[in-house]
Amino acid sequence: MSTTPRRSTFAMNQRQPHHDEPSVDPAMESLLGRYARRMAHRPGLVDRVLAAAPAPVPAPIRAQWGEARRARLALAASIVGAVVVGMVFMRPAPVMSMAAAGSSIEAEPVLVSLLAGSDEAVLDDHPFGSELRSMDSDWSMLAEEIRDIVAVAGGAR
Amino acid sequence: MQDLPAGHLEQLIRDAARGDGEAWERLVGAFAPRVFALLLARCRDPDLAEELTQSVFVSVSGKLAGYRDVGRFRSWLFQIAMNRLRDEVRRRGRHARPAGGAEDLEAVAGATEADYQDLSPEALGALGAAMGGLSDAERQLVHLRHLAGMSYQEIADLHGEPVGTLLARHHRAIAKMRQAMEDSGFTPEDLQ
Repeated sequence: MSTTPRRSTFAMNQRQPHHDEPSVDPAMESLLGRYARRMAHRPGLVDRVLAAAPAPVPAPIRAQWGEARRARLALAASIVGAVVVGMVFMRPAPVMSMAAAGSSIEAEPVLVSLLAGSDEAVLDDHPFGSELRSMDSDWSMLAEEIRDIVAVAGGAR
Repeated sequence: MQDLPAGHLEQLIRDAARGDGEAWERLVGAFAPRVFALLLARCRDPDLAEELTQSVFVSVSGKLAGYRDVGRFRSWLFQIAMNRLRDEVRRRGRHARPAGGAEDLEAVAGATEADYQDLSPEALGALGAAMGGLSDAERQLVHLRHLAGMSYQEIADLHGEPVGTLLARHHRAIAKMRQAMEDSGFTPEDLQ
């Protein structure tokens, strides 16, 4: 009965940093303290740990690395964007579009001639296929007209 | 093992995180022996304990710049250590041996005569036998409290248990150990 209060008072006086509760058995605590020192005893341990684990990388260097990475990503994104834009504008325009963009005099015969290759060619609800074939049986002229129009459209671009 | 003055630890952590090599050395000097002691007590293999200690500090070095949990460094550090040990035990497909008796403790300590100046082989043996009689939860608490040097609040943070529960468990563990030592003819007072 009388030993417990004395132990608690002693322990409070011996209170260690970070230990938030006084010991109820100072002799056992002391023994365990020596046991801890014994178990922690390993010659050269700290040096080997320091050799294996270098000091943390300073934050500024990490920030520079982050900025460099962002710069590399931005550069890569701009290159990819330029390639995509280039592919879109360098792609040859369809003949129909070139014909529509070109002069109406040249475009219309080509359009009609192209459609004339099929019996389904219909303009203003009128089948032109057979009429065109009878009007212009020399199909080599159509090919020549197509080449001219493509040349004009290519020159304009 | 060196204890850092109260309030000094957070400054040391900040300095080390900024790349201050001297602060890092002091931090490692203060905590590597405690991490090693805790891991050694849990795994009973000095070489593995050292390997894991190095691994823990490699990890801490990589994460310290991002460490923001002020006031919980010990919990964070020893959580990493316990996780490393658990992963290693799982990887090796075996369980860490529980704390054993006197011979086991002496073998683990790998001590020379000079090493026994602070704690005699008899005292170490008696303590080992007493510790072997604890439940695993009690033994782990004793290890965290006395080897790692953690406060009850830090252990509570680590395990998510109420401080009162830990206090009661610790009190029970110490009483059990004293009883076991007295039953084998030793009293802690005789071993001072």
